[in-house]
Amino acid sequence: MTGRSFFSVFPRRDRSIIPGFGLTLGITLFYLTIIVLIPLAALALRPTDLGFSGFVAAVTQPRVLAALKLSFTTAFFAAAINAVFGLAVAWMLVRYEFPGKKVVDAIVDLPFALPTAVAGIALTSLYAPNGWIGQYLDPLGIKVAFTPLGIVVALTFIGLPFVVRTVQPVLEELDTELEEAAACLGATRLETFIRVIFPVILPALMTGFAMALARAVGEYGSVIFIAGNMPMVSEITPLLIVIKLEQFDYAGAAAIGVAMLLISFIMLLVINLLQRWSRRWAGI
Amino acid sequence: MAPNWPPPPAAIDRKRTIMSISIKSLTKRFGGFAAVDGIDLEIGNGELMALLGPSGSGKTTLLRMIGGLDFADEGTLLIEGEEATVTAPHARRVGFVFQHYALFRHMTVFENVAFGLRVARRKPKLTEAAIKQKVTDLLELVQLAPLAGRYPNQLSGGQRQRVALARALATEPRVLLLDEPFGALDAKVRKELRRWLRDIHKGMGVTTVFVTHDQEEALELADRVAILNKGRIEQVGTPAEVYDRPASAFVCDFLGGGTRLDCQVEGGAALIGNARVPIVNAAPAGGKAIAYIRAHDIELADAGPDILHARVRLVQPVGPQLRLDLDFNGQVVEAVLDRDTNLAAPAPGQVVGLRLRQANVYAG
Repeated sequence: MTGRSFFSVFPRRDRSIIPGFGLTLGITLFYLTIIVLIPLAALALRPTDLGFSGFVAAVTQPRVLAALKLSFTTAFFAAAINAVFGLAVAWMLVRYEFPGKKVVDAIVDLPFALPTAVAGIALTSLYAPNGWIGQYLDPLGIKVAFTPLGIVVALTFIGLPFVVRTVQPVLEELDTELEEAAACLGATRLETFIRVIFPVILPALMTGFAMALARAVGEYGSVIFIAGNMPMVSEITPLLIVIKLEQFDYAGAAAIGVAMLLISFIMLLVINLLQRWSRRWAGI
Repeated sequence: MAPNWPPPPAAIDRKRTIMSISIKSLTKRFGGFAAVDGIDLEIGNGELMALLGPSGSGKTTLLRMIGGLDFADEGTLLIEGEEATVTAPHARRVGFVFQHYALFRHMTVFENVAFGLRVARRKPKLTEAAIKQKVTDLLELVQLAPLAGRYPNQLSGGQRQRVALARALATEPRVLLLDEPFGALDAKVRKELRRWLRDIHKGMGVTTVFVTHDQEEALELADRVAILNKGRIEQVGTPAEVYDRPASAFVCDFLGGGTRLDCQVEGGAALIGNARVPIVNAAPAGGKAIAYIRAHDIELADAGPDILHARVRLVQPVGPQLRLDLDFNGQVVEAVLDRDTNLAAPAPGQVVGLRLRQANVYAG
């Protein structure tokens, strides 16, 4: 068979045996348009009132830059912490049997269910200088509540389920024969983890990291209670947007929103490309 | 091949004096169930040994214990004279080929084979050039050199099997263990790989143990076959020994025992109906017994002494053979004849005369 495929003589060669392509494509486009694209387009159009130079001026104010920097760095650290400990939790839930495992498994999802404001208030009272945990940290000179560190704690809390729930199924599918093969070839437990297990779960781990990161960047409810919200120090970008709105500076708020959107988009794109690279062996 | 293969003659002579694998009353229980129940087995240096048995006979558990993937509850295991009963797998220098290959799917073929060389705590550590040389040699050996840059999911089943073998051989194991090595392959590839594994074994001389439930595979490939049943060894011997002189009814049955018929032992022969059939094994001295007649030990005969009569139920031409299902006093007797026999093929419903050339007889 050279050049064209045998089936190309049939005019309807692209028809899949799985039905519903047209229907699902239609639903997908319609749904994404009204739920995601139109609101985002409206957001992107709003700052055009300002013009390009106005937009640049709005997002390069020192207070805005400080808020953007704070939001993205705290979200990054929180997602990184979750990547490490979420992996450990997923590992434990998949690999070991212990009493109360089902309860632990359920607890992982609680940050999803809890209203974020409740989480924020609870964390604040725990980590305040006179709180249950804060009272022991305070003498050591570690201040958590009302500092960027507190923001990281809150973002870590709300991001935990993402890493656990993305890594868990991949770990469950991991064939123990792979580890046995590595052991027979002379690898220790550590070498087996680094060379055999980790590369296989890395794509899922990156997905979980990206989801936790995206969630943390946009988080508002839990953070505003614990952050202290001092301009230039512990004021996150979503809060700044709300402040702008309360001052009826809609275009300014939208400009900050667009800036967040752009940065988030670029970050997620990079993570997606890295993720694709990390599973180049899957042959897609 | 790497310069260490085959090992210099001096090394072989030194090793000849001790058994490659020496197993004494090895037992492994899962819950209350003894998967391996007091097995003794000696495997000589450079031997190609088959562990043959039905599923659940403990053959894979025994193999995994030799490889250090399961540990015995009782008994001892020596590899080249060294105690290895509870040694960690990475410390015992065995090569293990898994039934489903267990290739590292995120690594190329080259990296899969190189894995054992990169993690080995050998001194001095191999240089990158030495690793490349060795892996290239191994890939030449398994005829996969052009595919070194592929990932496992871009390979066919037979190619994956060969990568798995090359990977296991890379660390120069003292023992090569294969779990159902050809189980997942189609018949043609299986046959090719069998021949090819035998050639590689001959070329390298590494002691090899493989597990199979396919008697033909075991008899064709192995120097010696151990037949397992319910966690115990029923018989160990060369393929000819175990086939010609099955030590038990189970072995006889498992190695294509053919038809099972009630008989009476009298004067060194089995009396089936009123035909006297020569007994080939050490049968009970007298009384009721069970005779196993292999399908190709049955011939059609019209007249003469010791003829049995049976009705033809089914005639199946299979390649060069003619397979017959015969009804003998309500029991089904299987016979295999050459298709180019001078006799005309019998028709279903016809009554034919049978001569049974020989029987293996066991106490009932």
